[in-house]
Formats: sequence, structure tokens, C-alpha cells
Amino acid sequence: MWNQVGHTLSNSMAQAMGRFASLLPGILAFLLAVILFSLIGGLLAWVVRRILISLRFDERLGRGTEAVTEWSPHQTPAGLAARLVFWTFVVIGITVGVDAFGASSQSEIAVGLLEYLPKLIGAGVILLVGNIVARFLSRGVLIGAVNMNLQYARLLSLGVKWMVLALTTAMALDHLRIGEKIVDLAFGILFGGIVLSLALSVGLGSRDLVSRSIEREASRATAASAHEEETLRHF
Amino acid sequence: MAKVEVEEETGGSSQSAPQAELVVGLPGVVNVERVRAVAAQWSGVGHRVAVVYPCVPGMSEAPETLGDGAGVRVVAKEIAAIASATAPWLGLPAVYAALLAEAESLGAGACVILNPDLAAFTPAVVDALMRPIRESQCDLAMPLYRAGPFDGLLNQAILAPVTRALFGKRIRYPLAQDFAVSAGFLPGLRQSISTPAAGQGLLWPATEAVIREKKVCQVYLPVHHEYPMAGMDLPALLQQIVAPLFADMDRHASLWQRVRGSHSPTESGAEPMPDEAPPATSPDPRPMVEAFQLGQRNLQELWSLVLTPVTLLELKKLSRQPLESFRMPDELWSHVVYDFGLAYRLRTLSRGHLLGAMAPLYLGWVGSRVLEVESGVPWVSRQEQLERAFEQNKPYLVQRWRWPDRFNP
Repeated sequence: MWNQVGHTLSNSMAQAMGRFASLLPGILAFLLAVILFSLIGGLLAWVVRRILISLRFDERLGRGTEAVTEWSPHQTPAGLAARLVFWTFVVIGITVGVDAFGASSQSEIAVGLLEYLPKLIGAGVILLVGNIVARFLSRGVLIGAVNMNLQYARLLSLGVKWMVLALTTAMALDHLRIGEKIVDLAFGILFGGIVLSLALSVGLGSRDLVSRSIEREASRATAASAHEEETLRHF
Repeated sequence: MAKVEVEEETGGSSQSAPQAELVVGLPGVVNVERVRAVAAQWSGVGHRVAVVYPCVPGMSEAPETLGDGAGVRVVAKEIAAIASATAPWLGLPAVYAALLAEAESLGAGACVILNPDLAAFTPAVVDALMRPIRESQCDLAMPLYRAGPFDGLLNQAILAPVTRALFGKRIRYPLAQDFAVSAGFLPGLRQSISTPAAGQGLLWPATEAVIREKKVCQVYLPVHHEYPMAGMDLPALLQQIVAPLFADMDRHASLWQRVRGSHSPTESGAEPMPDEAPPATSPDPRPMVEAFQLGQRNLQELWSLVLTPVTLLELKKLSRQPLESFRMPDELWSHVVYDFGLAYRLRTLSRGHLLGAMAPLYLGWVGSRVLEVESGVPWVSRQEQLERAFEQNKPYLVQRWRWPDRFNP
């Protein structure tokens, strides 16, 4: 009996190793495609950056690119163009690699994983963009609220940040098809709950307080700005 | 009575036009009737004068000739965009470039550019601006206005001190809209605003003159400009005025890093007595100080990306001061301005956010200045101290500019 067990185990081991070995050419082809296209992308990005710098691309575009650099302050338009070229080639490399892997592999698991890979990349991009948007909007709201003399500026900013992050996470999970209905439902309940609680708290709980606060702020701002305009000139 | 001829030309080319000894340029939207009426006053001065103003293509009036003399010409120069939609009181570089080009093509001996509000559009003021060009061989005459302690606060807090520290010239109003340019400096000034980078900012005539080693003079002018700020909030104002200054700082970094010290340009005209007495009415400093304190409580995260730890600590201490003793030290304010200028260059924050985050700090400075003036501190000498502090702290800026990561006190 032990001989049979040993035989069965060695057979299954050999089969597993055989399957793994059959995947190796695909994995190698995938890695080779990604590395090759990344190198080409890197080289082309460098060339594009040099050309754009020599053409004074950033200066020539001028104000037209303010919107781009506002969202990505560390990057100049030339840098962004170079990055775009690089990442385009990386994505092409992944696509080619996935095709090569799929063509050389017969495993269902491998094929399933391959089909899921673009969704993972898409979800990653959604999370990345959501994070950038959340940070940008929360900073904008914070600065705007402080300059409007709102005492609860930080709360507003945090609220905006987490709302955008929650929305982004829900979108990413939806994209990955993880708990689709549950995520939709949870997100609807969360957002609806926040809006309802805010409406109730303002409309019922603290209506007088809010109206008094708004009146006080408005009258103070009007009086202060009128007096200021009479006596103080910034420019 | 002298006969007056006011010719009106339209269109771009004026190569065949006779030479004008003096060209008066009026950037922005102007009242044409008033322009004609004032232009007529030059008829008896004995030299040829051309008054040039911009107009939208297709909107210029037909050529008009009054009288039969040949002393004064009124030229409407067609330009696509005459004034900024957000700040019409600031001349657009493209308009300045067109006016200067017209002056060059007319072979002008000098060109006087005036504020679009036309407050300075009188023969007496134009003559006062022209005198240093004619008599002292200056290339650029900048104005000196009679201002109170709460006038032109952005100029007092940032523009004048930074220009003085960076370029070594004590120009009181570096962004003045009234100035005169000699024939020798006309092409240089026009070229300076013809580059794509400069064309999107503002015209800093004094800076350009200093960079080109031209002689700069200052003239006392009995003029007061009122700028309509209604509907413009402080962050937008900073974006309009301070952002171009920081952009200019970045553009000329290789030049100003070599400049040491400063000196005053030649001054002329009737100097008004400085009014050192505190004004009868002054703004309430409390809302400004409170705005600063609110910023200190909420904008720490953003300020820490821009300011050095020592500056942050000083600001924290300042925010705890009671209103009566609230004073922003000059050294601290100079470090704040320099750090924001550096952050503008490094794009540490998006530029819109950066200037918005600076607004509470600027209000803190304004509050401090109001409290000082109220307590009887002579503001003219106080302003001189502030500008000197910017100059003394220039090595800090140079070091931060060269090694922003390594030099972070």
C-alpha cells in the first residue's frame, strides 16, 4: 500500500512539476516582453524629454498647462509627456507579455488569472487617480475654507477627502467585481446616511444655531470688508 | 490760439508715419474722447507727440483729422486682447509689447506708458516722467507716489522688499503702471516681454532695466490711483500679483544670485513730506490676526511642506501672542516670502494652492503692520527696516535656492 501511496504522490508531483515547467516559457516570455518594452519606453521617454526641453516645451505651452501642473505639481509638462510615453510602453509590454503567456499556457487557472490582470491594473489606476483627486480637493477645500474664515475648515477638508476616497474604493471594488451588490448597497447607505444625518442635524437639531452663526459671519464679514476697503488697500 | 490737429490712425503698420519725439502709451480700455481732449493739450509744446491706445480689431473708428497742424497724433493700435478679464487694472504684456513696438516704429525719442485709469494722463505728469530721461540720461523713470501707511500693502510687504533684495535697486513701486522709457531701452524692454515665459506674467520694467544695466530714476508724481478690488478675494489677488513676481524670480535666478547690497536710484521731482503720523482711521487688525491664527491651526500640514522647521516654530509662537503684542518680526516675514518663492519654483504644492496658503500669513503681516502704525511707530522708517531685513536675509534665500534639501534650518 505504501508503495502505491508513494507512486501516486510521485506521479502527482511529476504532473505538478510538469505543469509548472510548461508555464515557465510563458512566464519567461511575459517577463521578457515587459522588460524589453520598459527599456524601449525608458529610452524613448528620455529622448522625448530631451527634445521637449530643447524645444522649451514648458515655456511655449505656458498657461495652457497650468491645469495639468495644478493636479500634478511636481511634474512639468515635459516630464509628464515623458512619463506618459514610458507608461504607455510598459502597458504595451504587459499586454504583449500576457498574450505570449496565454498562448503558451493551457492551464485554466493561468488563463483566469490572465483575464483578471487587466482589471487589477484598472483598479490600481482608479485608486491612484482617486488618491490624487482626493488630496487635491481636500487641500483646495481646506485653503478655501480657511480664507473664508470658516472655523470648521479642517473638518470640511477631511470630509471631502474621505468621501472621494470612499467613492474611489467602491469604484475599484466594483471594477474588480468583488462583492458587487454589497459594495453598491454599502456605498449607497453610507452616502445616503451622511447626507441624511447632515440634513437632519442642520434642519432640526441645530437650525437656530446654524442660522445665527451664518448671520453673525455674514454681518461681520460685510462690516469688516466695508471698513477695510475704506482704510486699507492691498495694491 | 495754436491750431490743433488730431489725426487718428487705425491698424498695425505705421512705418510711413512721421517721427514722434514722444509717444504716450495707454494700455487697457480707455475713454477715447478723453484721450483726444488731453492729447490736444500737447499742441503747443513744440515737439511731436503721439498718443497710442489699444483697440479691439474691427472696433476702431475711422481716421479723423481735426485742424491742420501736425503736432499731435492719436493712434489706435489694434490688439486682440486689451485687458485682463480678472484684473483690468493690470496691463497685459502683449499690450505693452504692442505699444512699445509702435513707439519704436514711430522712431520715438522716449515713450511714456501710463496707467489705464488715466489718472496720470496730463501733460504735467507726462513731462515730470520725461524729465529724467531728457535731462539725466536715464533709461527708465519710475514713479514715486504719495501713499499712506495702508496703501499698496502688497507692494510694501512683498514687491518692493523682494525687488530691492534681489536686484539691488531700491525701487519703491516695481509694478507701477506709470513709467517712461528712453529710446535706447525701448527695444530691450519690448524683447523682454516678447518671450513666451515673460508674455504670460506681468511687466516689471525696473527689473528689466537693472538686468540690462540701464540707468533707472525715480520721480515723485502727484497722482493717486484707485484700483477696483470689488469681487476679488485675497488669494486671487496674490495669484495675480505675487505669482508673476515668483515666476520672474525663477526666470532671473542666475542673475540675482550674484547681486550684493542695494543702492537708491536718482530721485527727482517735488518730494512730498512723509506723513509719519498715525492716520485718523485705521482698519481693525483683529480679523487679520484671527485669520492668521486660523491658518496656523489648520494649514500646518501645507505650511510644513513650504516653510522650514524654525520658521514654523516662530509662527507657532507668534500665533499665541495676544493681540496687543502681536508683531511679525521682519526676519520671519522675509523667510516666509523667500520660502514661498522657492516652493513656487520647486512646485512643492500646486501653485494655486500655494498662493492660497500664503494669504493668512500675509494677513498676519498686515495685522502686525496695522498694530505698529496704531502704536505710533513711524511707518516710512519701519518700511526701510523691513526692506533692509529682506536684503540682509538674502543669503538665506540663495542657500535655500541652491540646496533646498540640504539647507533646511
